[in-house]
Amino acid sequence: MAGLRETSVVVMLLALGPGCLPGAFEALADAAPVQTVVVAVPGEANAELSVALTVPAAATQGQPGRVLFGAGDGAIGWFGVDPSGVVEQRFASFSELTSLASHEQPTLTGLALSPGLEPAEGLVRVAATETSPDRIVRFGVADFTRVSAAELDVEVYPWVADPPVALNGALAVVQLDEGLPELLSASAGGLFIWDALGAEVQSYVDAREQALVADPAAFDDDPVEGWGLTRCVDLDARALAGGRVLAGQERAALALDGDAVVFVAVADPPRVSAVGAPIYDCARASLSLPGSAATLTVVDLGDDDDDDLLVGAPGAGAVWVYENLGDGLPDSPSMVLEAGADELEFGASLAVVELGGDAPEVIVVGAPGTPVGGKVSVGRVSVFDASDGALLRVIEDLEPRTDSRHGLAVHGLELGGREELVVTGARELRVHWSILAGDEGRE
Amino acid sequence: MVVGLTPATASAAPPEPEPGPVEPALDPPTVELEPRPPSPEPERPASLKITTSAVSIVLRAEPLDRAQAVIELGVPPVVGAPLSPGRYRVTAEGPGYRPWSREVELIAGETLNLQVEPELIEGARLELRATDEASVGAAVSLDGALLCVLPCSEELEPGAHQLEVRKRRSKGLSFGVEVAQADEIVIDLTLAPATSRAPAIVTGAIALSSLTAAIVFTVRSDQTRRSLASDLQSYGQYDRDDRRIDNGRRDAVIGGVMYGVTAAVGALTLYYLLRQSGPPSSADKRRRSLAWQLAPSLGPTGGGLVGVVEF
Repeated sequence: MAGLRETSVVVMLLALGPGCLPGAFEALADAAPVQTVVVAVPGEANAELSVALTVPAAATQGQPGRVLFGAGDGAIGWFGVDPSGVVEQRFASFSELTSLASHEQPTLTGLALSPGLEPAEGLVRVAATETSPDRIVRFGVADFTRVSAAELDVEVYPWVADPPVALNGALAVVQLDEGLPELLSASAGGLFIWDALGAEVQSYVDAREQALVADPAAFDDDPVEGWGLTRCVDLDARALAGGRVLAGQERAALALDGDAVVFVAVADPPRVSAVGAPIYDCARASLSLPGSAATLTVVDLGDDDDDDLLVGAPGAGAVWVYENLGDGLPDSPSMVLEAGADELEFGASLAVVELGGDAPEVIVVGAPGTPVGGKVSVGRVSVFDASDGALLRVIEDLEPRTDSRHGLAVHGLELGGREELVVTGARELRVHWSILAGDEGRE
Repeated sequence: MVVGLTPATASAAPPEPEPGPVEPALDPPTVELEPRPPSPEPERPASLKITTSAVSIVLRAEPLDRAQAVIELGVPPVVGAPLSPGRYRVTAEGPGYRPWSREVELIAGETLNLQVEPELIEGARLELRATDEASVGAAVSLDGALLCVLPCSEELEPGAHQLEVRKRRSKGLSFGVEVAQADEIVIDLTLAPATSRAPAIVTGAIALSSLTAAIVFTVRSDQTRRSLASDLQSYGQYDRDDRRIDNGRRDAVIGGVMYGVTAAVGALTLYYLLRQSGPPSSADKRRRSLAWQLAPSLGPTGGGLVGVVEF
């Protein structure tokens, strides 16, 4: 019997060997659960990704979700993939960057996405030059074109801070009231908040000028009344996020300051400055954290229409999950996701992914500083069940390399009615088409 | 059994056609002597006349009543050989015939007519000869059984036989031969040097090596394929740049190429194995059949052709 089996194996090998096996490998390659896209920045061979943001599918006019990324300090681009795995990648050209920055070879210091806008809009922060301060420019994600004229670029005017403060911290766009969302930028001089993406700045300036014509000392008593923005001087925001996290689903921006999360929201009662700009409450509420943290992500876990908060604390090797049960965020974490034994920078990136099918909703936590096989900063990604925090699996980088920083960012990319896990590393993006039972592969 | 139109007899009378059905030969044959003429005064020589249907026999006369060497009478027919009167033993020998002898008495002045008909042997005679030194020592098999070693001469049963001649480093030879009773077959065998099989050994070794390599690479490729398939089944993460895909595909291609090389070199091996260069070994057969003959015959009442069939 054994002899017969061995003979069969040999016959099979003889029959399959010459022709079938190469084809089998083609099929296995086509069915690979991971699709890797190397990010090769034109003209910058050694540029590494520094930031990567998830562009929702709804904001791409019927197109699948995308990942908007910044590489180094001089390039931005996006990556897209359709449900069948066809990849599209685009970088802002030299002329497009020049147009955005209004000068050649700009230094880019921040990147953000405007939520809820169609077509998708991004904001890029351009470092100051000898002739202009730091500025924040709105652009269309699809083609990197300006959305507004250069005169409407957001900046800190001299009457707000002289000399101008550097806008060099966290950058985010959060919907705090009706209309266009608000733009938040951290700086050495506190947190700045421009309402309506700065679109109303010109009207505030005009109102200020008129007020000064009528009364040159109109703002001497309270300069803030003439700024046309909100400045939270004492808020050192290392990370920003926003959503309906206050009781009654009231919107707020969350600023990570020290070991606390500070809630910035519309003042209660609402306040409007002398030039007509809303003045937001820089400390509407606060939440003390168990320790130092680095990242904030607001998501709706469990699709209960209440936004929840994930706090990544790489120093503590944990992610604290604050689940909003309808009356705002609790005072202490409702769930704690802990790092593995040798994981570093656990929580540096966070995402909630609805894998679809029979797969559960998962919380994906990146630990890009994790050493693997004696190589530093290779990175690792952990996948937890969003319902109970159970660790479902750990995804190593496919080919461990020093400083590949796998898990620099993680995304749930909307593709064909479900989300696929996309993991960003320093030099590549990997689409993980199937990571769990019930998570169907690509079409 | 010997049956013939002319029975195996020695007779003074001319042979006559035998009427009626074929009868068994009479044994022993009789010798009838002619009436003795009046005795002459001086002794005159006697005469002996011998006729026969046999071919290639040699006749001798051995005096019995005096010391004298055997007289060679030669091949038949013997017409009036002068001999001294007296008693003789006449013998006939030849290939394909059993030895034949008769005692006769020759009377002076008289002629004795003697009909000599020796019996054919039961089988056939096969003589195998080597035409050159290289063919000497070859083993000859008859119907699969070793018969003799060249050169040799053997008696065969009548019928169809298969002869095989084999000698190391010589091209073998196989042929059929149909023999009848009393056939005499002479075969001159020339064995040509065998074609060298060294190229076949070399190509065969290469084919074996390439087949081994093909199997090794195929097995490795299949193991890699199974590893990837297992990962795919268990949600293991790999992409199309995974080294296993390239390595497995490479192994599969190499295995396939090795199979192709094996097929090509194997075919070459078969060619070298089956190829025969130079002239083939040869057998030159010569046959003489004694079972069916037509021979001229003369008698007192006439002459003609006499047919002899012996079974």
